[in-house]
Amino acid sequence: MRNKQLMIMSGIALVLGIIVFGPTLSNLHKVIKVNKQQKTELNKLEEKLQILEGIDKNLITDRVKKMEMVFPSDKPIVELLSSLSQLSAKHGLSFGGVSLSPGALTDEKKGETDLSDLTFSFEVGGEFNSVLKFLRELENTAPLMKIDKVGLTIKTNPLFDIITTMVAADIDVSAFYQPAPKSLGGISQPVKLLSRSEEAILSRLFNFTKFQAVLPVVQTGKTDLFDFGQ
Amino acid sequence: MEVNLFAKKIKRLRDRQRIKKLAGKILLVSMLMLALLMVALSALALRIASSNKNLEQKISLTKNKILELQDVESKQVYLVSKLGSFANLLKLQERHQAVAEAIFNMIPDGTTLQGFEVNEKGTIDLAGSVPAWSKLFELLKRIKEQTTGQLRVVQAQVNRISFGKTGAINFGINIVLSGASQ
Repeated sequence: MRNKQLMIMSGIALVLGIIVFGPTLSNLHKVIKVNKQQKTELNKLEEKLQILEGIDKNLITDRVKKMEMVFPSDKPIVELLSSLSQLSAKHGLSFGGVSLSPGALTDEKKGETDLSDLTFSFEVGGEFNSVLKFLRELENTAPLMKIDKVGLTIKTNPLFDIITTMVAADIDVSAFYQPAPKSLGGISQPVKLLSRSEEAILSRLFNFTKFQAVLPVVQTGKTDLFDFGQ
Repeated sequence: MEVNLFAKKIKRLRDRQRIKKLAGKILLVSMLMLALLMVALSALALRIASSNKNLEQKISLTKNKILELQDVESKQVYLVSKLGSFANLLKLQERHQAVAEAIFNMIPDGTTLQGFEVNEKGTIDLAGSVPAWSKLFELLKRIKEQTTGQLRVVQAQVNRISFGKTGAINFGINIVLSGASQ
């Protein structure tokens, strides 16, 4: 009888213990879990802050401006025509016969990292060496272009006794652009630092020649995080 | 002489009493220990909760600082997103420049070049016309002996030579340059 009572008492004590300790232990487990998560988050944020504070604001602004000139986020139609006409004028060449298909004027449904190109053709005429210089300089002119096809007619005018070789060149060119990312991602998302080789590639941006394009300025009330101006 | 008739019974009772007392003591000590453990656990939970609050404040402060540097972050994200494509384009452009330079060095004065294209296999299809045989021979000689520039002619094949109406000689030549297809 006594043993039975003792057993019952112990059972009651155990149940009471579980009832009282259960929530306490559960609460403790919860706060420890939150603590761990917060510590991890704080570490990530501090690391990100350190990286951001270490970035030279002036240098990155210059690089972004240059990148937007050389490898723009939108179709660089106006800039292209302006650069080509000014480059041909610089080398004393005639410029004309431009044929391009700008395509859709609205934003295309493409991913953030999609590279797009704009193909067009034009003609330049003039002295052979000037055409060669033009072709060499063309691929170092902003916005970024790649010569796809060149049709070259080399003809020295027989009526005049001149040493210079006159050339007419039909050139097909692709210009490239890539939309800027639409969002920054989460605040805890780490910022990628550039490696040495990537830094070297970025420094090549400054080798590109930029001709000033006259662009209309439209004021809007919206602010685009990735609109750094040109 | 005194005879104790309940000696056994009394002993049993005493034992039971002792066990009962011991059990009571054990129960009391256990309860005390559990109470102490309860207090310790609650104190620990409170301490961690307070630490969580501090961490929360620090996180909030750091987030604010990061938000202040959002401009720098957006520029960095922008550069990183464009860098891969830009690097590939530069490589492609370098190869193209080298090919164009190699071709321009080959063609003699008076040549009309209808165009040259580099196909997927890296073969350059060179098509055009020259006003006289001497110019064609000069062109072929230059292709054969081409040494200038970064690229070398690995293989060249004349596919077509024909006379045009105006007396010009039309040609179609396939050239393979080292490294043009990489």
